[in-house]
Amino acid sequence: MATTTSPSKPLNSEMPIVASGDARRREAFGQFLILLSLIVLLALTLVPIVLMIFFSLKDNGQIYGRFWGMPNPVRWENYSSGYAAMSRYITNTLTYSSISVLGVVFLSSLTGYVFARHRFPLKNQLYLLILALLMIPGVLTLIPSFVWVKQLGLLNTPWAVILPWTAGGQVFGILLCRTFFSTLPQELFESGRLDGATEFQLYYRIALPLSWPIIVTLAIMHLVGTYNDFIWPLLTISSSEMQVVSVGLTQFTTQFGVTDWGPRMAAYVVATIPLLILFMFGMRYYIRGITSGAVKA
Amino acid sequence: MPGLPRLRHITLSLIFIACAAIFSLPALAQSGQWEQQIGDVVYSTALSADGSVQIVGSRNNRAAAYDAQGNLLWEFKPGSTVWGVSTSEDGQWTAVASEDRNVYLLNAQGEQVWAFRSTRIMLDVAVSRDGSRIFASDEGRIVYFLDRETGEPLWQATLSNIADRVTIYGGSTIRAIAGNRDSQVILFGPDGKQLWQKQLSDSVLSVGVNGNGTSVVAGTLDGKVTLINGANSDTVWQIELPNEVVCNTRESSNCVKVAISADASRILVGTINGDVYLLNGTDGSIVQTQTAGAPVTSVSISRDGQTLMFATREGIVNSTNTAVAAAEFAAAQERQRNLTIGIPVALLLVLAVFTGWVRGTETGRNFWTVQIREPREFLVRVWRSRTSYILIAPTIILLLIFNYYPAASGLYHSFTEWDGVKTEWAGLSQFQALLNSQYFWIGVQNALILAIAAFVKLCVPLFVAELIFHIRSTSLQYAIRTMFIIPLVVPGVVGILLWVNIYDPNIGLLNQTLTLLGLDDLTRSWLGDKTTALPAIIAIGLPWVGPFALLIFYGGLISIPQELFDAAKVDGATWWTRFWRIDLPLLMSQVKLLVILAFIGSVQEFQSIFLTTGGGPGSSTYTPALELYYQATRFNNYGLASAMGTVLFIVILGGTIINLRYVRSQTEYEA
Repeated sequence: MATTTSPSKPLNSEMPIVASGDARRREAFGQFLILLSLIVLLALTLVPIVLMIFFSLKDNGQIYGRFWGMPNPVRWENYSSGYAAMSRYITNTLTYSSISVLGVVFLSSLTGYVFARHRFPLKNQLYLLILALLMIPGVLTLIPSFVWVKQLGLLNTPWAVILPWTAGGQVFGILLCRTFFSTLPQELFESGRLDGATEFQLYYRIALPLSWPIIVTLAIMHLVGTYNDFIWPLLTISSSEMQVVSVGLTQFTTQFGVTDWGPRMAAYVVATIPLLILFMFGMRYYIRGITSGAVKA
Repeated sequence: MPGLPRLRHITLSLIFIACAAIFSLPALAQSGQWEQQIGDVVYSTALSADGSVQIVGSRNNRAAAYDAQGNLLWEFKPGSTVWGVSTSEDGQWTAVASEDRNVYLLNAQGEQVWAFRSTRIMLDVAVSRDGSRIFASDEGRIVYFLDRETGEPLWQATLSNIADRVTIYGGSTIRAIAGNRDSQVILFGPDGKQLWQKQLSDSVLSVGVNGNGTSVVAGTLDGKVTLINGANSDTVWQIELPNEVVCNTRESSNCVKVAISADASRILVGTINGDVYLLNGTDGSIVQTQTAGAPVTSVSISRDGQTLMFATREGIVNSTNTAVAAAEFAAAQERQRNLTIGIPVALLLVLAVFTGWVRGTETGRNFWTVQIREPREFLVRVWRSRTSYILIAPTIILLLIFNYYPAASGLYHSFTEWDGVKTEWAGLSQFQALLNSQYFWIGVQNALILAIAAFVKLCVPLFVAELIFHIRSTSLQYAIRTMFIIPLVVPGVVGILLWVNIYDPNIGLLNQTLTLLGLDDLTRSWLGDKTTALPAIIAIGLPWVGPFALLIFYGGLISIPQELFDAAKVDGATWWTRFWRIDLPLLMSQVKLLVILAFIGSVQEFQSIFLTTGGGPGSSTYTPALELYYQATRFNNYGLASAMGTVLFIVILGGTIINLRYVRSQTEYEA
């Protein structure tokens, strides 16, 4: 009946099909061209970053006088003034972001779990209603949210950014977590139920420990997203005591004078460091978040 | 039992009629108040005896008549600012004093009957009760007593100083009163004879007289209101207003304005502080205080004292019929009472009839078992799943407060005038304003350019992903991919600010490089030049290897089954044909996603513009989102900003749907 002759196994891709010397030379030249173009593109892409580090070690005299010269003497003290300017903003941002990350991770995983594992009336309608929020652009809600936050009396308090960040970050989080939880084997939960675990315990003891990768992904993505948010803190936070990094970065002219570029660039570098550390540990998770989010959308 | 259903119908109909009667009450009452924006400073207002004709004269060369509900009756456009208006008892004859040096007499339709021309600017005018005499003053210190029939002065008099305001009274014997800048109030007889002259403490800015001339009220520059006995010019009372009024002569047109009813019982006063007082005519005590929100430039009170009107420097005219307003208040109370009693009674009745029907009749029992059981079972199921609902409740509540509510609020407020506190329904007028706003259209044009540029820019990450994918060594692939993702660590704001630095005219990398290459002519202030600002913004991020798009394209490429490439190789396909025949078709879902995201991003583009040019130079780099931000933060124009948000939302929604529906998606392949 079923012919079991060829299981259509793919050809070994490592094995060259034609291996004449001429073709091999062409192949090598092709590889060289590819690498060359990639390196040129990479160099161009990294120009602003190199420029930033370069400038951050010079003073205005060196920048204006010897633009192309190396930093000499190297102005490390730029970093102390850059740090002094940014430290408060960075602390603020990391505080707000962390609280929001905790909220998002907890709420999204819990709600994602319920939507993946529970059956209840109106489940699909509610889920669609939440997903519909992905279609609402920021421009529509920006001003009404601002007025609303103002009416709630949250303006110029940390809650003005923490609460909306948390609420907004959930939508993507729920999507991510639900997809992940529905891949977990049903038997785990069945046995948990037989052992008399409550619904919350099933979530807390079984689902959550199994889902660290996705939780870390969500946390990193949300942290990066909130760290980069600009327009919302710009609208809702006016006191520089409470301001976040992205807005704080634009307020240098008043701190250093218009053209003191060295400390300013040093401050840019300082503002980059938290993300650098985060990516050093979590790049893998972030990339997974981007690609898995892309597959869903 | 055929009797029962009929009884039921009758009962139900009766209940229905009762409810309809209760709810239809509000429709009978007519509004006794209106408020309108005239568009410019209102210098003068006037009312007919019963308030049915309401005249407004304003700086935008306009005199207009409204009825008690604020509907426009007619409009008259003289050659210049209207300083004074007045109308007869029946509203049939209206006089207009204009800066174009004319006094116009208008009939009931607002058509010009005649114009009397003076050599100087006409400041004020008054029309007698029957409309037969018109009294006017000009800037040349002259007052004219005009005859309606001929349009010529019966007499005229030159005063010691300019009379800013005049008034007139009397039926058979018509007398005229003028208040001037020498602080005098002067009474003239019908023949022009000066009957008395009263010296007050400061320039007279406003005068009013009651029906029979017994009470003359005057408002002066020092913020005082004085009531003069019209028979002997004695002062009856004089008051200072509770909020001190301080003005100088330049502000005299809105300092203290007064008006008095025919029986002298009510006096209306408006001040530069924006306060409107209703005074008791007998002793000057304050009956009522209201705030107009802007300096009051004119007040009027009808002869019957029921219609009160005031206008402000901001061009707002407010007219209230106190009798109707009181009746409305009473009616509202009545309605409230009816509802609080009526609704529970009606509900109880309905419940009683329904219970009787379900228990007592065959059809009722049937209905109960068929129709009610299902919803009841649904509720039971909901109750059983209460744990699930409780677990998702925090999420839902947070989303309701910070996501659903603002979205709904944005959609709703795009149909209103909204300053964040007060909301006023404005229909489609915000969208109209948007269509007429040149900034918005410049923004749309720029957003379109940005969107097209964003689509084109997507080619670079696709190209780079292909290149990386073609590297033989996997570890090298990984290393190069990682290096391309490095820019992710730079915060978005820093990324843009670095480019602002690159474009800097003095120490910018771009100009420095051009100088180094000997291309000094090309150097310029890239962001400060109208022709280069937008291209410079588009060029930000050159060579545009977006890490995000790169990851998605690369992820798509490595998920393509290897068999397909092998098959292509066997068939001898070139790199080029393979790209078009295999890679691109299989990457279509990634392309689609990135195109949607690029489109949404460009329509909402704010950050890169705000941080680079702020919309300038001029308005050359405006985007709709930037204009939205400015309308909200600079002008508190939240209604217009919401309308823009709604329009952009619709554009984004439409673009996304078109993209999802018409861009060819996943090509089916068999592995």
